[in-house]
Amino acid sequence: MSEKEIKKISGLEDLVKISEKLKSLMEGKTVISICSGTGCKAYSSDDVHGKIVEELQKKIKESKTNADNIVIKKTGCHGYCERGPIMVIHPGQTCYLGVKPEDAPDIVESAINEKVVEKLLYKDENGSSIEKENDIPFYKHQQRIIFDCNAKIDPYSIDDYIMIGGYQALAKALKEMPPDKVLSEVKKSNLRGRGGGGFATGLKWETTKNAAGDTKYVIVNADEGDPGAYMDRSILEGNPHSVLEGLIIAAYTIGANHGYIYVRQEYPFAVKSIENAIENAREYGLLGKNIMNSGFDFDVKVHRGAGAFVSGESSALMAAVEGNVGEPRLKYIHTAVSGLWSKPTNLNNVETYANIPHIINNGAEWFRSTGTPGSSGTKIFSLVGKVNNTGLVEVPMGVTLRDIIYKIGGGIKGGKKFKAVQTGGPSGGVIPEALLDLPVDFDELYKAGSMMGSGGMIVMDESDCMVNVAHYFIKFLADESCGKCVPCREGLRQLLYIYERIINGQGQVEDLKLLEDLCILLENASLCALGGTAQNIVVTTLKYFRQEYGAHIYYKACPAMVCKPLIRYEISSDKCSGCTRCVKVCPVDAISGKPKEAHAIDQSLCIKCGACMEECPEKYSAIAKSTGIFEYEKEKEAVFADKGQ
Amino acid sequence: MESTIKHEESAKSAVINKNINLFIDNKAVPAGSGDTLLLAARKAGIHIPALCYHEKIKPHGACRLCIVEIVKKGKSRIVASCAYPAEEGLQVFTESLKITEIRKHLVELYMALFPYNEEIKALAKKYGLKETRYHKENNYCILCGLCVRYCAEVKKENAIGFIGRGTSKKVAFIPDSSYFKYCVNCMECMDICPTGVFPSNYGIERLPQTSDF
Amino acid sequence: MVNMEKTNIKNLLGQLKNIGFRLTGTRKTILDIIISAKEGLSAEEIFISARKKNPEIGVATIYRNIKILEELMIIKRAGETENKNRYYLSENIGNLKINYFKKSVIGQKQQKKAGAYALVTSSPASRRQDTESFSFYNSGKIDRMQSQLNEWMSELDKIRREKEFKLEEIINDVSKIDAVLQKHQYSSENLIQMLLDFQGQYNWLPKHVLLYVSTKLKVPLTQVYGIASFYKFFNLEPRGRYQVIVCAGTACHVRGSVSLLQRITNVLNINPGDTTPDYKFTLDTVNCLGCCALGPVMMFNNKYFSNPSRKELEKLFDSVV
Repeated sequence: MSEKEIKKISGLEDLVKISEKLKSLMEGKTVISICSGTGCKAYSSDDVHGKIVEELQKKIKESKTNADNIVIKKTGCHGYCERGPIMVIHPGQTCYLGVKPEDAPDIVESAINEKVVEKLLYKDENGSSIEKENDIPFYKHQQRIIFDCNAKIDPYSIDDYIMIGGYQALAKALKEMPPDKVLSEVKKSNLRGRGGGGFATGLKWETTKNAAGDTKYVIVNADEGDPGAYMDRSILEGNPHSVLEGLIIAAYTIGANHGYIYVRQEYPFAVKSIENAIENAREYGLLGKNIMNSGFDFDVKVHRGAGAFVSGESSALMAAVEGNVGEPRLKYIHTAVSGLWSKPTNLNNVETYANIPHIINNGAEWFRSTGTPGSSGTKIFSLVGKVNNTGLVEVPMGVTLRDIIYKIGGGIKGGKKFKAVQTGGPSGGVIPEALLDLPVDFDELYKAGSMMGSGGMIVMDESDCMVNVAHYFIKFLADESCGKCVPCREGLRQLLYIYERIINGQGQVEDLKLLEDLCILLENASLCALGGTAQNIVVTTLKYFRQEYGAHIYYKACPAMVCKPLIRYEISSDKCSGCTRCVKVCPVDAISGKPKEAHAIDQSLCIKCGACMEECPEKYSAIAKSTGIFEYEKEKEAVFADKGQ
Repeated sequence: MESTIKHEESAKSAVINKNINLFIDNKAVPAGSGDTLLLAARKAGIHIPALCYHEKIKPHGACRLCIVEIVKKGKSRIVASCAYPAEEGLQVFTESLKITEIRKHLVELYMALFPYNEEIKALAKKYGLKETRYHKENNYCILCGLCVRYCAEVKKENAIGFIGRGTSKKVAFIPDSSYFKYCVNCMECMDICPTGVFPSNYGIERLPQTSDF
Repeated sequence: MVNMEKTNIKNLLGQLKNIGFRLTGTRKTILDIIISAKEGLSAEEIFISARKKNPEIGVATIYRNIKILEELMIIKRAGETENKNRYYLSENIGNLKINYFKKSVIGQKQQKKAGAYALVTSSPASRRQDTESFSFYNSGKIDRMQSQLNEWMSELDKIRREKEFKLEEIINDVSKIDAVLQKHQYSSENLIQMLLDFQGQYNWLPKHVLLYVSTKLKVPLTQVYGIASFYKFFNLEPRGRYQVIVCAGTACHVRGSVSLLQRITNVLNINPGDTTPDYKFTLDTVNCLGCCALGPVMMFNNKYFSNPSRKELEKLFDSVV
């Protein structure tokens, strides 16, 4: 859709013109849209795309169809990452899952003849297929306001975004609404920050707007450092213009003329996508001087991160944009009053900005009609871990955890038993089964000791050890801490020592009290929120899974069979057939055994890598894990009687 | 919004009347308009411990010993007094129950780091801590950053800096300091070091300067 | 008592002279002051008394020589009790056996003869030879010196490996470095972006690039090193041609990234964070690539792999040049 001379957009009429033109071009055509988010790219969706293009060329040569009847489009992430690569055929909304390059001929054939490829459709428990995307259980229970657009547009084409109504909110704001009116609309909608803090966005904008000074800045925080969360990346890759539109509206409201987008270095495709979007927007006059002939100037610059989780904290991010080391600083004067280069700065998350165009287009009342009174609107979660349907889900606030994990997530993988769900990334905590009926919003999870955070939800089953999970997060935080203040740096260091002692079987009774004291220190005396929320994981695992800590300390056993120093791999002599496959694969030659004789593992050499268990053929299944030191069984009663537990 | 407006108003009014009145431990204390809580307390003779604070350098907030509890509009907060600006009518508590508990744990942590400092020893005595339950680091450098900031802000030489991040953070003279003689050998960083171990630790790491003996 | 001490000291100094230690006027002054004092003196007090004797002595000279005398254990500093920084004469000076000396203290003259250039480009190898002999410290400090020595040994290894990368070529091609600076408008705000470009170009950050950036942009070298060592993405030593990256995010951890890492370690024979000796592969972990549905994920050659088995790994690593 390239034009020789790109005319700058001057208002709503131009937008509608472009949209109508594209819609009429698309009239009557079949569109094959292939998901090209990073997740599906990893499943080689690019190869699928290449094959489909090839097939189509072949069919055109054979005159089976016209070049004009079928359009192939690469879209952003659809969300159902477990079953990628995903393909949707419009206008029928037929959804194919797990597409491989070899399926290309069938797909093109059925697209031409308006049929469906049965084997690629979703099958439910009874085996019957579901054709339409929105009928698939994963999508049916969601309410996809922001994410829906991902599946319809090519992120590298600004015209696609305009076709679905993009930039009309910007036109409305610039032409019909003075900044105060936009501000009051955002305030009324009760939009709260989606990056984890949950601060009222309207209030933040107002503080920045009213702060003294003429130079102001707006920043997009796309530093999604939480491991296991990738919502912001999918929005940036799949629909970058929505973020840009929200950013320009925010800048217009606050009175800022410069903006920055801070993207982390681990997201190269997101960087490419947003840079391309900025170029396209500049060509149309939607960025730069005199946007849409309104007299408002605004331009934006992309700033890449370099691998520091702590730089996602707002004051640390501003230090990094200024060119210094990304360390948080004391924030007794808000960054909204004195931020980047001591000027008033507004910082919001990617998803927050993506919500703004919808609020302006549909009104604050519409936004408030979804969600709970305290938390309006929808939220995107990344549901990962031991669920059947991993992926990105968008639900209204107030849906219970149980619904998300079982109805949308499809329950636990492999039919195992649910143990806990970890929410909020490293700043959050674990929630056990008893609390699964809690609604998910900003305030409810906070009362349980965890938090919603930026939306990461990691589901764990009976084969996950809670002590190991807490140790993992503390190690992550100790690695990512900036090291400036003593409580966080030294507190996390000491926490690591204690956890390593417990996992190595040298835990002592006093260790639990030490953990609790360190948690009090971390919560209150840290400089920034990294240290201030580091104790959530320790406190929640202690509160809900104290017996696991007890098992590690008293019985030197790991009930979930995860902590390596406390488990043993043993070969059952009844089941072993003497095939010597495990002997060959052991990296430290710890298995002894001649062919046709039962093998044995030398525990003093074993490094517990698990290679032997993976190698043992399923029909024998002779290798199993065991834990615990049985002498302690005798002392168990005495110990428990003493501690009165 | 209200807090910003009040902030601006108090900033404006502070310029007009130089003196603000706040309450530290229920005692009325006057303060200048740009003063921090620590400065106001020191002027009034109230002792708040601090390790990484120096009058000539901007506050850093790394040692966290100077934390106090402030009560504003009924809500209480824990802040570092070396950086929090004084406000009219603020209620400050330097030894409330909460602060005592937190500072006690903090001092216990310091005792595992560097127990020989005056301030730490006095606090340990005050809280009745004889021994620390934590693993002794014997690191001796508490990363207060006084040497780094002094060299950067007062001497403006920038000869010494932080290297690394998190638990592996260190203070080091830039490598190859003989290429660029940033260090003018004033040795004032050695006097400012609260642990006193700085010189002997880093006397070896520095390359010998080409100077007369 | 003073006389006996003076005799002991005289003997000691005689021994030292044989190795090349010179008793300069300043050092003599300091010793005299300390000997005749009744109690410990702080450095300022020594300076004041020394000034009285010789108004031209500088404070830095005094500090330096006090340090040297302390290293030789002629005077000792009470630093770990109440009176920090007070200097006393060491007891049992007569029994002191001077075994080792820092050649840098004594050998300045020889080094000076070789010229300042030699000093400036002295590699850790020659530095280590000079400082082979250390003055005798108490045992706590010997540990610190041991770790210092280990650090210098690894520095030496690093320099040896750097030579393989033909540092001269990198230094001579200043125009390439300048092009990156120009692209970011020579602005110190864009320091991190420039370093990212260098990391992409050279696959590590050579020392000379950092020096050039620091001089050209007038940013203190400590700040450049601070930034380069703060962020995980920057490497201050050479890396392999191919990066093997394992995702260490929570979702992959829960799905077994630890055993995947163990598997790769077994195949490549290196630990996470290290490079193979032939500079072909570097193994590293990263916090969340964002492909949680494929967990545990390994990224290699810009392609993602989901839980590859041992055989697949061996085939993959053998297939690249």
